[in-house]
Amino acid sequence: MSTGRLSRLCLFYLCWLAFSAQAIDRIEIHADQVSHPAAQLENFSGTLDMDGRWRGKATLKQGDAAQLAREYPLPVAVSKGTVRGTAEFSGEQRELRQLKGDLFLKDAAFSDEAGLHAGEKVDLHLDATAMRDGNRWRWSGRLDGTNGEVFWQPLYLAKVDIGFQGRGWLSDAALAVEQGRLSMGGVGAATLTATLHRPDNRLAALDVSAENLDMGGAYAGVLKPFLEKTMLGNLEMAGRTDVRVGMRESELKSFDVALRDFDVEDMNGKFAFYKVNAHIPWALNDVTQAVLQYGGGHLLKMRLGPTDLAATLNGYSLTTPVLRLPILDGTLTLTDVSAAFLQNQWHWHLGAALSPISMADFSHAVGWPAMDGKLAAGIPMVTYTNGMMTMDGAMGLDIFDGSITVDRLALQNPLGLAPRFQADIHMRNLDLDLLTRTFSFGAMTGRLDGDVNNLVLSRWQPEQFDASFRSSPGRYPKKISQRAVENISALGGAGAAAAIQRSFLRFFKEFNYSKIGLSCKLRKGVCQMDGVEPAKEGYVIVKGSGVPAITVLGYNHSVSWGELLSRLQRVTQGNTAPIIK
Amino acid sequence: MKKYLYAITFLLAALTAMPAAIAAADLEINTPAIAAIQGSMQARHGQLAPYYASGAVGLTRDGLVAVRDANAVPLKDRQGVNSLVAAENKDRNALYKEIANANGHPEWESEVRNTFAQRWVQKAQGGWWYQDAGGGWAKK
Amino acid sequence: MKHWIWLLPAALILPACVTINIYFPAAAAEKAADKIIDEVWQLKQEQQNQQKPADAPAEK
Repeated sequence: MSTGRLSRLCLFYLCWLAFSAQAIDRIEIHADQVSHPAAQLENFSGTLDMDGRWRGKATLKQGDAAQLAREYPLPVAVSKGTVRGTAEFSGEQRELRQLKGDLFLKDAAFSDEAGLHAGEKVDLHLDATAMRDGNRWRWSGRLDGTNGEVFWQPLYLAKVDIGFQGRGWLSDAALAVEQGRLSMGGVGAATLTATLHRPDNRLAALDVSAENLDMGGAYAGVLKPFLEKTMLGNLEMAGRTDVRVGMRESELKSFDVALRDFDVEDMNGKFAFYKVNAHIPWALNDVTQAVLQYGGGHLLKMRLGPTDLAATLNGYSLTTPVLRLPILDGTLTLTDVSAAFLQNQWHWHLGAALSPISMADFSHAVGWPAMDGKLAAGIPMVTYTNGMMTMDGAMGLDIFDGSITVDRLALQNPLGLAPRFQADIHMRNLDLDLLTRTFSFGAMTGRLDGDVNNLVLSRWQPEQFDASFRSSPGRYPKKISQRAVENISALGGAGAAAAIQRSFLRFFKEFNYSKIGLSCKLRKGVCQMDGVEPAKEGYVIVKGSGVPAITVLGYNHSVSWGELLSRLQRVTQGNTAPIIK
Repeated sequence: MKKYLYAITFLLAALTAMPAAIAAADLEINTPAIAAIQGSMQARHGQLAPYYASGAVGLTRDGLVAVRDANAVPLKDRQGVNSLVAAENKDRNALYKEIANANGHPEWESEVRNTFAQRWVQKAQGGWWYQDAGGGWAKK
Repeated sequence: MKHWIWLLPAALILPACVTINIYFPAAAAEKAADKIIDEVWQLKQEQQNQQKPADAPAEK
């Protein structure tokens, strides 16, 4: 029999005595010590008056939290811990009216079956009162977690430092927090009101409002576990934020986030934004205006300049006529941006234009060989839906003093494990001098046209294409250095280059040519090669003209793609000085 | 002449029927997408294996994995187990879908999943935990 | 004699019809699953590794 029941019985017995005796108007009892298998009570005292009102007080000297917890339907099992403190109670007739407790839980350990809600060495202090009000209980008080380690999926607190203070009511149907304040060490405090349905603990309503939260602490302590394994899983943040969140029936209805002098940096080096100031209000059934500005940063190592962005939010959609993003020494302009999050998937479309940026800066930023010139691009309209990104019209790129257009572009699963990229690429009038210098291929002078049709990249590796490159039409100087000749020959296989070295041609540094051309049709890992015209035993890659003239022939019509790639790599990286035998 | 034509038509029929017969013998699993998912799962297995062995993670009856009893894992590492399980399940779901798609029968997804569910358990090491048909956990 | 020619398209369509009604190839799926599981769990490799020490003379 529990202590509570024992004392109640005792009180009722005394109560009955009091009524029967008539002469007594008040009864007091006192016990120095009451023992129970799970707890030890001290200084138990109680009084009972003539109208049946009773009141009592007890000191809990030492309680076993594990045993006591077994008597309550808790979501977790308590395996360790001690409870001490005082409790006061009062009531009338058979009804408990008021309960007041000041309890300390020390060194507690708890866990659910799967171990996903667990704590160790937890110290809690509860100071609360509950009063009966009709068929509900009104409660108020505070609960402080002062020590311990807790994992409450997915949150992990290495050192518990949480305080909650509030008041509300409890009935069979609901638990309400009419006014609450939750504070967390290193993060800040939030005020909240909430209603939970009982007994399934479903969230009927929740409104949280927090001001001046420390984003550094909030990210490390609260946000990071939720973002693990995403692009935002390894960040460092600093700055202050104000947040308001409203939920009804477990659904997000509104939020309002304001960032002040906020800095964020991806520890993997993918992006960083500094001096971010933003105000993003959102409501499920309302149209709101969001603004975001930042002083600078970088995206994939490309420098970002001061930026001012604004967008209209309407439920799960976002629209804005124009977003201007200064990038390197140019500007990326996104137009007619529209995005929507429907059925757990993003759908969006936008147009884009890149005003000229210096290729030197760009190539340096993305880790390509140093390039000269300017890069400008225009993208008419890109649409992303059902994991598929498609482009309407052609994307134009000004590069190497010529132009590249990308047509029929489609990208499937861009962020998935196996992205698939399709496009037709057309190159016109590329300056061979700039091109060969960039890829250290040996100097060539002239102009190059190229087409890569039916290009398919699977996981960014070529699966198929029909590529052909040839001299651009028109009159212009056409020269090819001896090294370039050797390199082109080397693409045809080892040994070909040595032939030049053995001939008198090695005395010339440069040759004239009339036409260059090479094509490769890639299917199933094999490249079907051809040149500008057929030769006796193969095809002509470089057709000479004038004096000294040189003609380079290719012999193999089918070359394995892997082999060709490794040859290209040897050519562009390996030979800075030709080997002369 | 008649016989000759019969023979040709029969031969044609046999030849055209053959690809179907060959296709039915093996399921297509050599696509870049499947290879990518497989590679990702293989790389993760080294991290998951100790949790299978300790019983922290078990194989579910729907061809996925789940945290079964993480009580032996230090508190600070438990979210790591959660993330591993979530990532593994994302890959497994993608794998079943991709296999069905690669064979031109998206509707096979649930059957592919069921087949895998059984085979994972069949090939599991002794001591690993799995979910039986009733959803209860059992030790192999 | 002329109508024999109609047998040709018929011969082509016939097997095509057969291929449409494919039921789930359980055995093939099992084989495919085993192949993938062996790769993911590196079972084949492990078996080889386990065999190697067994082949070596046991030290006592």
